[in-house]
Amino acid sequence: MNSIEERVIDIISDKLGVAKDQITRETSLIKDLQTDSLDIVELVMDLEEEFDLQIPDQAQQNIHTVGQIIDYIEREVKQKKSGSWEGQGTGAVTKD
Amino acid sequence: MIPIDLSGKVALVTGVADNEGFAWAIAKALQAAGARIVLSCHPRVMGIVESILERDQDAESRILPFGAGSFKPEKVLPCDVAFDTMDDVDEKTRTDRRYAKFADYSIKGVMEVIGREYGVLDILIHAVAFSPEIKNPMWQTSRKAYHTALSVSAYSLTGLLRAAQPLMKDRGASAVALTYVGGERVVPHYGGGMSTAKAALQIDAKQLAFNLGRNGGIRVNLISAGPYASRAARAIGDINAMIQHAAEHSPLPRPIEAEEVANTAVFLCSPLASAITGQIVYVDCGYNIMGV
Repeated sequence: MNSIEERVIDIISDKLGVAKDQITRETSLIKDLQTDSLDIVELVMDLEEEFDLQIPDQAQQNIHTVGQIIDYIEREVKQKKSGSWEGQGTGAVTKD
Repeated sequence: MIPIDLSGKVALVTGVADNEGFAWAIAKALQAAGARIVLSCHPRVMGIVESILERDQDAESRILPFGAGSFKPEKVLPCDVAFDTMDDVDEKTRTDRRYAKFADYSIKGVMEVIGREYGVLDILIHAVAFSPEIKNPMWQTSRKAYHTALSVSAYSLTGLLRAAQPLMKDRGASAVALTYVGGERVVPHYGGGMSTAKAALQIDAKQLAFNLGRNGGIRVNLISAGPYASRAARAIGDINAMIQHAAEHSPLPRPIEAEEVANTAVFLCSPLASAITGQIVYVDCGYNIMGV
């Protein structure tokens, strides 16, 4: 399976119609990719589906670059795994 | 029991943009009553709506009321109600990649699909409102934003009904549009020309009720809903304060639920409301009757 970074860039490229080689960790969603709030909602929904998690509005407000998306998802996915090992909810675990 | 049975009726619900707003609740309630649902969504939110209709994360929001199963519209069509035909689309919009993926997102395009696929339309729900300057108070609203608010939020009812009349005539069809008390009295947050647009929508609905009552027996009514924290309303600013104020000052001292608006819409579209047209039904816990 591809890395989280590759999967995130795939989704952004597909959703926003931007070539993959134009997207780096430093790419700004608003300045470089010219996204607006509706683009972000769509993007977040696709990411939630791909990684089976919920990205709350509050977390979205702190995400401005592609790298921040990747870091957030890596953190959540890791937490989700450790949460399920211990049999505890982490808040990031979605319903079945 | 008195039944509300809309089995086989074809319903177009415009203005669906998420799974929280009135349009979503109305569409679900109409399907629960048996209607066949066609959604029209702004081209910019088509992806969002398609996602909420499919994602596991949103399954709960698709559960129909009255144990009627799960929400499944038969069609989801792109429609920007600012455009009666594709000839009206400006160059900037036409070439925007977010629009360019759709061949036709005009009102005419939607009615052509419904005409081709169903041949008739029994129910039209108008749940569209937009101002690019909703956060600006009236006196700081530009002429351009004012005209956009009127075009998208008010004229669109006329545009939709004019295009739909051949499909709706002579079959007891009904249209319901959503308005707000901010179109009659001063709600300070309701700026950007939206108050004007709702005032226009209210007299337009009465004109249309007369015009179309005489041309096809089509009924046209409005629901004036109390403040509700939909995703769109949260853009107006301080919606929670408005909800709390209304709740504290209403005969029924509580906020409204989207399902209460949806149930009223189903009633207004049903044969039980066959003599009701040109009316504003307030689904607001009685807030509008109060003087203080």
